[in-house]
Formats: sequence, C-alpha cells, structure tokens
Amino acid sequence: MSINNTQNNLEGVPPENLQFDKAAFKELFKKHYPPLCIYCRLKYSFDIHLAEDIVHSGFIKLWETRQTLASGISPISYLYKIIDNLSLNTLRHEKVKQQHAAHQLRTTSEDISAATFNSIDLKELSAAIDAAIAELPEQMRTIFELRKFEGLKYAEIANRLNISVKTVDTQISRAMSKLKEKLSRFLIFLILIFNVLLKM
Amino acid sequence: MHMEDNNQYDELLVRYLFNEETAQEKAIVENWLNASEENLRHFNRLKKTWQLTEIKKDLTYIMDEANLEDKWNRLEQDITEEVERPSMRRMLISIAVAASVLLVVGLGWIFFSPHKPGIPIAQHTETKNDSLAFAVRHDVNTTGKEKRIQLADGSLIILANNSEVTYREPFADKREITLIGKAYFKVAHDKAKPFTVTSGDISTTVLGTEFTITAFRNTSHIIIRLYNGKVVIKAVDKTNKRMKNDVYLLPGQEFVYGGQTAIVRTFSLHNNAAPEQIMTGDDPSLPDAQDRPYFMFNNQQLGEVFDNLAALYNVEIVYNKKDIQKIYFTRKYNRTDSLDTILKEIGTIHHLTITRKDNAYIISR
Repeated sequence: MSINNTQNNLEGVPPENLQFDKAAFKELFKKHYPPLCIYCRLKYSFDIHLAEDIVHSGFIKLWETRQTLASGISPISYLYKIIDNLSLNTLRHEKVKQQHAAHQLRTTSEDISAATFNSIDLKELSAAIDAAIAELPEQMRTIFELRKFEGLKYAEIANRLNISVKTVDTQISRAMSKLKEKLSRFLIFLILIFNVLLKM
Repeated sequence: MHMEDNNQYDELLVRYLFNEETAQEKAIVENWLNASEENLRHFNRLKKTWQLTEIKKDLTYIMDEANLEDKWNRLEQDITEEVERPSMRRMLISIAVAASVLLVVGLGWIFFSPHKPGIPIAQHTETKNDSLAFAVRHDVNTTGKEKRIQLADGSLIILANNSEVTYREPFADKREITLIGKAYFKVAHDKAKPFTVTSGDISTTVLGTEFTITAFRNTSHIIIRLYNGKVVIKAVDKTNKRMKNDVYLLPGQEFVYGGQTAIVRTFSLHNNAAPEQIMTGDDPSLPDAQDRPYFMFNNQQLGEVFDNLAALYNVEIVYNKKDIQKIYFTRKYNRTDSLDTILKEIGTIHHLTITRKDNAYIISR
C-alpha cells in the first residue's frame, strides 16, 4: 500500500492505489488525522474540535470520491485541499474570513502546504514546545504561563506576583523572543504554509 | 524601520499581540505592519510562536492513540451508512445556526429530596463596583418554580427551584458563571468569550455547537452529560489529583467525578429531548450514592428509568422506545426493594408486560 509511504512524496501515487479498501483507508486515517487536525487548527485558528469536525468530514468526502479521484492526485494532497475548502466555507460565516483573506492575498502563492506540513513530526514539535518553555528562566516562565494558561492581563500578572507592569512587559517580550528562537525551525515551516495563497 | 531594528519593537509588538497596547501604540503598530512585507513577516513569527505554545495541549490530545481508535470507529460508522452523514450535517448545522448551547447542571438528591423551601421568593442581589464598571449579580430562586434570567450577551438561564447562580455583568474576557443547584443554559455564541460554568470542583467550558449537560452537586458526585456538540471539563484547582488532565466529552458520553474517580463513560442517548424535558425529566439519577438508603425518579422518561434500574441492579432491561414514549415516572424506592417488585409495579401502573429471561427483563405492551 504505497499510500503509507507518501509522507514526503505526495504526488505521483499511481491511480490504482486510489481504489483503496477500508483497511487501507484506516491506515491512511490513523496516520494523517492528527496532522490534518493540527493543520486546520493552526491555519484557520479554529478550536481543535471544529478542526476535528472538518477533518472528519474531509475523510468522508475522500471516501466517497475514492473511485472518481483524478489520476495523479494523491489522496493526501486531495485531503488537504478538501479541508482548506471546508474551512474557508466555515469562515465565510464569520468575520474572520475577510481578515484572513486579506492576509493571504498579501503574500506568496506557492502550493506547498500539504507536502510541507505533512513532513512535520508532531511528536517532535510537541517535545520542542515543552522543552522551549521549560528552558525559560523561572520568573519569566511563571509570567509567561500566567498569560498563557490563565489568560491574565499584564496588570493582573503584576498584581499577582507583586512586580511592576513594566517588568511583566519586558519579561513576556523576552520570553517570546526566546521561544521564537528555539522554535524557529518549526516556524519556518508554518510561515511558509500559512502565508500561501489558497486556491479555491 | 528596517529588519535590523525589528527586535527593539518586540515589546511593542508583543503588547499589540496581547491587546495590551494603547490606542496610540495600536496606530503605530498597524502603520508599521502595513509598511513592508518584512515587518509583517516579523510580526507573524511572533504570532505563530504564540500559537505554537497554544496548541501544545491540542497536540497531546490529538496524538492520543486511544482517542484515535475511537475517532476511526466513528468515521467507519459514517462511511458505512453513506446516505446518512450525521457528523457532516452536525457541522453544517452548527455553522448555520451559530451554535446555541444548552447546558443543564443539576443538583442531585438534595434537589429531589423532600425539602422544605423557605419563604418563596426570587431573590436578586446586585453589588455595584463603580471603579471596575461591572456588577456582581447573585440570583437565588426559591419560588418553587423555574425562573428565567436573560443575560446581556443574549444567553438565557432557566434557574430551577432551590438553585442559585453568581456572575458578573457585563462579562469581561470570559463569561463565567458559578452555579449551585440546577440550571438550564442557552448560551449565545461568542467564540472570543468562552462560557464557563463552575460547580464544585469542576468547571465546564462550552466549545461550540449544540449540546446539553447534566451534573450533580451536593452529593459526592458531579455528573456532566453531553448530548451533542463539545465541552471541555477542567478541575478548578489545577493541583487536583483526581483530575490531572482536561476532559473533552463526545456526544453520548458522560463524565463522572467523585469519590476517588474521574471517569468518562457512555450513556444511552436521547436525541430528541427538548430543553423542557431535560430540565424536568432527564436527570441522570443514581450515581452510586451508597450512603443513601433510597433512590428516586422525578418525572423522568420511562426509558431513562429503565436504563437507570438496569445500571443499578446490573441487569439488562430491554424495551421498545415506541411502547413507552411520553410516559413519565415519579417514585421513591428503597435500595433493598427487589427489582422484580419495582418492575411489576411499573408494569401495573403503565399497563406493560414484564418478562424475565435469565439476567434480562423484557418490557412489552
């Protein structure tokens, strides 16, 4: 089943592989469901559950069209495309849409989303985020986490820790710079992906 | 401003990212962002960095192997019955309707046990705090009937008797409600302001789409049932040992918290229950409240009653939903009562035939 080996090579799956059975579809699902959800979550800023609904629908759509899929289109890049379309349809119902489109239009237009995103190892990403936060100096981390986990305003953090708002300001900014550096190899991917003009 | 200068603007940009900037700073930043693609890219790196840290818990959740198996099973179900596509439809509906949310949080035995209410009044307290420009509102309902409270954001609370809610209005960044007792919530959709109900040790946050929850309080257990949509349940105290991780419920699942446990399990789903029925009849009864010598049903659908009895006596009770539609049942039993007696009595009252087969009871008309 060559669908399993398409992680970095999305194109060029021979058409006969598209006639997949349920077992092959399950493998495809298990491998690609998590990254697709994260992709949708990040790209469109949906909460994870809306992302899941969309990805779930995407898989149903792929299953339904499995026999009529044009040759030369890999199921995985097709999935990414369906999910982009479903997401944009969802956004149409929200104001975010315009803002999003504006950002998208301003930037480059290479269709590399699927291939690039698919090559990110989620486990590695997860570990890298943990490590990057853990490595922050203690006070900086505390301040950052109060903002992140409790959503506190600068003034509330300052109050809670009995420090000045200015200190919070500086520390959060430094924390962000450090994280940005530590996560840079993932950021490069993400920025490439998400600044791509979407083909509708 | 050029790229090499960018880093010194980070403090300002981070402030902007977190909505901490002044109006003047906002104008400066937006101007700067529009000035060049380079600037925009620089800001995007900061923004994506923040997003990456935000998705950490989503990553953990989505990579969970056990979850993945469940999700496959649901997908398999959907692609097997290709004509019916519930999840697709659910998604579209949730978008179209902009997600109204039903939330019922209940108080268990105390609520049903013969309880002498005080003077029947709907009490309403408002504490004004001018410096912060919001009011803390505290509604107590002892009128003996349900009380409707319309919130400024468009949400509706129907507060049951002997119940109280506390919240501040207008809502700030978050919509936070504290509940003692039982209430039905219809939550106006607002993605930017999560809606959270705190009851006892547990908080329940609405994540979108349409659903209902039922929970107990004032017993040792809190139960949250999800009928449709999604909620996330968190421990109020982050160091709570019984509940280390957030719990995401799927439709048909209930979360049971109490004793030494915090578990998620499935229950039988009544899809068509209207909010009114949920308020009056759909209380999940009988968490293993071993400390009480009796259990009660309070105007509950008969199907629900049978399900509960089946769970209590660890038997199977088979019934045809059509046979017992629109039958509601109210009665108190002792734990020592035999199931045979209970079922015989229900059968007599509602003209149903009870047949016993091994460890199962079959109900027919």
